[in-house]
Amino acid sequence: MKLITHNMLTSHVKGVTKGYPLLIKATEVQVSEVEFNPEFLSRMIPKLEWGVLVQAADSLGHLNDLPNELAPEHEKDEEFLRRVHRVLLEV
Amino acid sequence: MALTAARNHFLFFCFVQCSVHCGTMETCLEEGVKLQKKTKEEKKLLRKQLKASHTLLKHEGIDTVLIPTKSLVVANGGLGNGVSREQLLEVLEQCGSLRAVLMPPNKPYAFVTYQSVDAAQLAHKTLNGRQLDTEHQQVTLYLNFVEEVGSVVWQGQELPPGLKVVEEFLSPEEEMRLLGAIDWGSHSNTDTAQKALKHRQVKHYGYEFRYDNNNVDKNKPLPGGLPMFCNEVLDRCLKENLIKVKPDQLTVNQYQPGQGIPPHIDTHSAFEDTIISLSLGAKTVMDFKHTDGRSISVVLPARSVLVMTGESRYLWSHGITPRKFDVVPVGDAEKASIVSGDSGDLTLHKRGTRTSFTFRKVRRTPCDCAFPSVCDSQSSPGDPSSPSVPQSDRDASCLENEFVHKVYEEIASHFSSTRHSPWPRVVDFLQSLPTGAILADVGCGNGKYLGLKQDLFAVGCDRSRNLVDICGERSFQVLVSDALEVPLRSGICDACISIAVIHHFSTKERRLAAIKELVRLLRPGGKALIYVWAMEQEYNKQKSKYLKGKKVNQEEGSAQRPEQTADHLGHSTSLASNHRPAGKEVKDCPLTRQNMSTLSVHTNRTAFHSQDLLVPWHLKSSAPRDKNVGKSLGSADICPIFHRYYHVFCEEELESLCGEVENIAIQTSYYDQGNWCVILEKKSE
Repeated sequence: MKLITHNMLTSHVKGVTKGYPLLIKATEVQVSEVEFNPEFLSRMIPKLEWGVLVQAADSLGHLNDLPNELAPEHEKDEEFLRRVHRVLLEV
Repeated sequence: MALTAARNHFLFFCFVQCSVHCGTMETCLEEGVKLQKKTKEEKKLLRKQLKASHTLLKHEGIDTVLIPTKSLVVANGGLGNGVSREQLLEVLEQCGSLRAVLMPPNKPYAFVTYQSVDAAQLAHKTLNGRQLDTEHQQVTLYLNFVEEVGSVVWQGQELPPGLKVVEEFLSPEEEMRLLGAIDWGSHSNTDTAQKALKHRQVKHYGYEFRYDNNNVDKNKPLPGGLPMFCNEVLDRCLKENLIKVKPDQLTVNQYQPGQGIPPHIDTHSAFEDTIISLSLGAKTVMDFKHTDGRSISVVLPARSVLVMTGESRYLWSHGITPRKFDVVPVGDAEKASIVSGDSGDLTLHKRGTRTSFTFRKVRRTPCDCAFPSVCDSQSSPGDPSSPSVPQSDRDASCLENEFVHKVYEEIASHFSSTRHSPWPRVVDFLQSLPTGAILADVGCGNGKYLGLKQDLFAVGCDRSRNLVDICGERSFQVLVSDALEVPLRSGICDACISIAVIHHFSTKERRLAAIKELVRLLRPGGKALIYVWAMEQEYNKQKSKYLKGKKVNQEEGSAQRPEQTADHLGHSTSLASNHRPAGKEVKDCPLTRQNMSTLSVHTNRTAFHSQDLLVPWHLKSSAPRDKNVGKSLGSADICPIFHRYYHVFCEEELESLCGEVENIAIQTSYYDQGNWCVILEKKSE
């Protein structure tokens, strides 16, 4: 499962008000390359739970220098987008 | 050595008394070798003889002894090796007078008891290594002494209640005339319906018997009716009180040696009580099986008529095992008899070409027989194979578990192989989504929409683990999840699709809940596309591709097929119940079913007659089945049928259901190839 998918998951157990983030118990962590699309990323990032992504990436040892807080105008920073791309779509 | 331990369903009716051993066989053998110099050939023979005795002990529990007795076990001299009683007797009688020869059905050995030990010793000495030519192979006999052969007293078996075989019902002249009246050569005759099934040839008169639903189209009689050449025989049947009314349907089957018909009960709702069948050309053995496991094999001689009424017609299945030889009682070839386990009286009979004329009366009212457990006209409470429209949420959940979830799990691989063409208007919807949009495909099946647009983030979920695994192999992001509880955060999706999913929910409340769950996932302004199967398969005078499926190419590739393409015909199991692969027991689902209407089973590629129904899926296994299993069934043309529950939607039903969901607007709704479709938009808070 990609971390972008993890970012959207929640528990559906009844009575749980905030069912995420779900803790990851990784049995195997793979990195596989995916085509980079800056437009896709810049549109996706605002929809993410950024904190959840950072926490999940860190827990897998693939934080990739992502900052705890999103910088303003991050969508113009291609180097940053590439790092998000790696964490979000390739891990 | 051709001795094989053939395991089969026949019981082994012989027993051999255990002997007191005098030392081990090996030491005795060594002594024997020392006493007299043996040639290489003799040693080989002795070795094989010893091996045969080991095999018999290991596989059949037959204990051989070294001290000469009157009785011998003849390895390879059994009916199961293709050795007939006559052939074996001829050899055995050379050594002395016989007291008994037992040939257990299908076993690769026989037992012989001589009048004297001397004769038995002679046989042991001279017949070991004797070769016999059977129809298929040459076998070598190996004989070993046994202490005592006993035969369990065979308890007289009776025919299934209601079954009758009248011998010599036809004269040889009538037989010839009837056989001559069937023209297997011409296929163009419109008065009859002819099919070459994999295991036999078949011709129908009066009404065509349909092997897809094991029924007849009662409103579509064949133009010719019953042929004139049957009149004389039918009149006699009436006169002799074998039948009470004149039949109106005739099925003629022709079986070559090696061909057969799988066990079946003629569909109750299709035909009246009495069914009669003439055997022409050659005799055969028909197997009758009771639901409790009792099995009775009946010899049907040539020119006989078989009459099935009552219990034998309604409750017992009948079938003909595909094989070239039958094990039959010794004696009169024209005699109808039960093939008992009496191994003192069995031999082999080589099959010839047999033609049967089966006459039935098409039923016009629902069956009211006394056997509701196997009756498709009668609902049977507590039987999950004939479910009802659910009344409670719990019932609904049980029904869906049994007739949706489990079925998709079973058929996942075959289902997936028929699902690779995306429907064009779904593609249009997906293409309209902007880069970076988040899409959830709830009920994604094999994921055919997940990879369609690369610049989306698409996540799929399906209730079927096996289908999700298929998606996983395609590297899609997928989850196993029920469409009522999707584990995705609320409001994250720019779009959701639910293609051919919501019609599997069996109550209105659950269908509504499924739509609400889609809406929960949507962000304000997000859109959901929903497809459900339509009750109306003909709309604006246009037949859907589902209805037309029979005429168009049924192989893969047609643009849009909401249902399975090729109906797999040619099988003839007509048990009314839901067929399941062996070993998969139907678990009891505690449905409460008072005053409920039973779900009807839909006939594929016909118009729907009710909104809640079961749609058969004829499973074609891609994996080659176990060779032996296939062979023993002799029925490569049988495929298990699974029934999926559907609620097909009437016009405007989907819109009205969506109307009960808050905070949405129906953007558009349309009919697309037998489906009702809507696009919803979630309003801003």
